[in-house]
Parts: sequence; C-alpha cells; structure tokens
Amino acid sequence: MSKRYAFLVDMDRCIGCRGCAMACKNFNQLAPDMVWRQVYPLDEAIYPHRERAFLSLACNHCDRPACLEACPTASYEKREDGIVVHHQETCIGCTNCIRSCPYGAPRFNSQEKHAEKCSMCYERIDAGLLPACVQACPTQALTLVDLNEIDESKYEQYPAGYPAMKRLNPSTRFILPKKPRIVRG
Amino acid sequence: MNYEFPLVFFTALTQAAVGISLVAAWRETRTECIGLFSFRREWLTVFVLASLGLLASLFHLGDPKRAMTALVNLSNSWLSREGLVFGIFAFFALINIFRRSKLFVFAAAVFGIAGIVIQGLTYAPVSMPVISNAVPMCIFALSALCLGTSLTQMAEENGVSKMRTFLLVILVILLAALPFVWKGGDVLSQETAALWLSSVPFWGGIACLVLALVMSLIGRRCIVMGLLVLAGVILCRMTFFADTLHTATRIGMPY
Repeated sequence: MSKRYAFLVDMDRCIGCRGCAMACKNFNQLAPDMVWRQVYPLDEAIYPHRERAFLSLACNHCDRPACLEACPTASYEKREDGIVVHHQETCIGCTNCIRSCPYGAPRFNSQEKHAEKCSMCYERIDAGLLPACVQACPTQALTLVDLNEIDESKYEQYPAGYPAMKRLNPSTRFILPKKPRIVRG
Repeated sequence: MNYEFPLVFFTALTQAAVGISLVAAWRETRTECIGLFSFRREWLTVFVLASLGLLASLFHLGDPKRAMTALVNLSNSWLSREGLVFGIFAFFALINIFRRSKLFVFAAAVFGIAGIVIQGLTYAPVSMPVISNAVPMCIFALSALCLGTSLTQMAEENGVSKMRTFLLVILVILLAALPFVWKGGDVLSQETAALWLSSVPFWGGIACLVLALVMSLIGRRCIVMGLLVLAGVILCRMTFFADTLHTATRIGMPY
C-alpha cells in the first residue's frame, strides 16, 4: 500500500516556541514577510486555562485539495505519498488557491508575484530526512506519520479552532492538550 | 481594505454584457421588435463590456503576460472554465456586430448563461462558508438580468420595465437580507454579517439600486437608471469580495 504522509501535532507537548516556523523559513529561504508554517495560540474560549495551547499549522496536504481543484494553471500536484506540491514556476499569481484553501496554507509572495506553500520538505523526505519543522521541534510535538500505518482512532482530525472540512479530508492529525494539573501546596 | 477591484469589474462588466445579450436573444424571439433597434450598437456594447471585463481580470494576476495558461486546468478548475466560456461569449458578441444571425445570438446567450453559472461556482469557495452555496450564483444571475434590462434600448411596451422592476426588487431584498440571515449563524457568519452591515460601499450600492428601482417604478427610463444599477452592483460587489470572511481568519478561535 502506498504511503500517506501527514503531520501529527501533539498540542499537549507544544510550547508555542515557533521553532518549527523558523526552521521552515530558514530551510526554504522564505521572503522576510512570508511564512509557510504558523503557530496559532488557542483562544481562551476553547482552552480556558492560564497555560496556553497552540495549533502549529502548515499545509494539511488534503486528500482532496481545494488548491489543486481551484488552480487554473494546474500548478499543484498530489504525489503518490499524499504530499501536495506547488510548482511556483507555472503559477501566474491569480490567488484563487489562497481564496479556496480553508486553512490559509497558500500565501502570496508579493515580491515574486506568485503563491507558495509548504511542500512538506519532500526533497528531504525523498532523501530519507525529516521535514525541517519536524526536525527542529525541541519537544517532539511535531512528528511525521504515515496515515496508512497509524491507528487513526487515537488522534483528532478536527480539534476546536480548526476548520472542519470533511470533503477535503485534511491529513494533519492532533493530540489534544490535557487540562493543566493543579498542584496545591 | 482589499476590495479586489479587478474581480469586481470583471464580474460586474461580464454580467452586464451577458444581461444585454440575454435581452437581445429574448428579442430575437419577438418578431414585432425586429427593426426597432440598432443591433450593431447593442452587440458592440456587449463586446466592449465583455472585453473590458476580461481585461480587468488580468490586473488581478501576478503575471498577466502568462494569462493564457489559466486555461490549462479545464478538467478541475472553475476559474479555467470561466475564462474559456467568457472568451467564447465575447467571440460570439464580436461576430454578432458584423454578421448577426439567430444562431450566433442564441450561441452568445447560451455561453453567457454558462458563464454566469460557472462564475457562481468559481466565487463560492469552500473556505468562505457563508457564500459556499448558491448565493453567489443567485446574486450574479440577478445582477446580469437587472443590468441587461437597464442598459439596453428596450421598448417600454414590451413588458420589460415590469420585469426589470421585479428583478430589482428581488436583487435588493436578497442583498439586504443576506447579512441578517447570517446574523443567526455561527461566529464566522455573524462576523461576516457585521462587516457587511458596517460597509459603506454595501449601503451605497443598496441605495443606488433602490434609486434605480424608484426610477423604474415611475417609468423614468434613461441612461442614469442603467448607470445607477451598474454602480449599485459594483459597490455591493466590493463588499462581497472584501468583507466576506475566510475560515483561516479564525484559526485557533471558535467557529
């Protein structure tokens, strides 16, 4: 069976250091105002505790990607292993993918005048390495998994604060943050 | 505020062109109207509006020089299909300027209708839940018909003025009711409703459409009415593109 690579975000381990976002920016040599991975703090209405919890999100490499369906120049490609790759060289900057992706994964590069997004560092994966963000995570909150090999019932696909787009079937999986332990002296 | 002016003018102008072509096609079926109109001028208007619309859409692109490559993904992308269909529509409008025939008039009308349907699907992305439905298609179809019946040299006795009045009433009610319907929805819908209700272009557009409606009701048929409808459609379209919230704006917050 072919692989279906996905990011697994352990929200209980994530400390919101943004090391993943910086490693992504560094490895992919992104423009100063560009990010492919972003760390979103959970709103207090969702996680009402003094401790914070975070959603570290990049492209979700959906099973049925909205960007791929929306792109008029066929600049998106879905690989056998589930990774959705954007070919910047054929992009004409129509921003239709940006309008269409519910997760805000494709971003507009205002200098180069084209869209761009996370490629799950497929060149690194092909070379047997981990994506830059996964490798950089100091708490191992971000890992790379194969959805065809893990027991999906253990993980959350649509946590609160994350758009539930069942038709697209995003590949990212989450481990929810636990309630903070109160230690009384 | 990003009003997406290229998209505003692209959609409004192509819809005006389609509306006029639909009125022209309808007139072809009524022999008593033949001879009363300057067909050449009318189809020239359709062609110029459609061409200006397509030209405006180029300003939306990061690299307009490669605009033709937007036709590559016809099997998946509604945007590719939209470009192709409006291109064919403009081609038939051009033919009708020089060699008008029933076949070409109806061909233009059919491609015009297809263009509106495809436009309704292109601008109903899954990422904008409040308009990821039939709403854009209804707004675009009503806009096309209101513009078509307001901008052509229609004879008032053809019953078109009553139709125009009716269509304007429906368009105004639909546009004005949408934010109030959204107010009863989830957080994203409520926030979109608040943005639309506080939008100056939105209320300006509604005011233009209401003024045009009053002129239509009292039987004042003049170019000002057509321009008021066009201004109303453009102003409301600015709100449509700028103030409709994307799901990504609330990541990490409750939906």
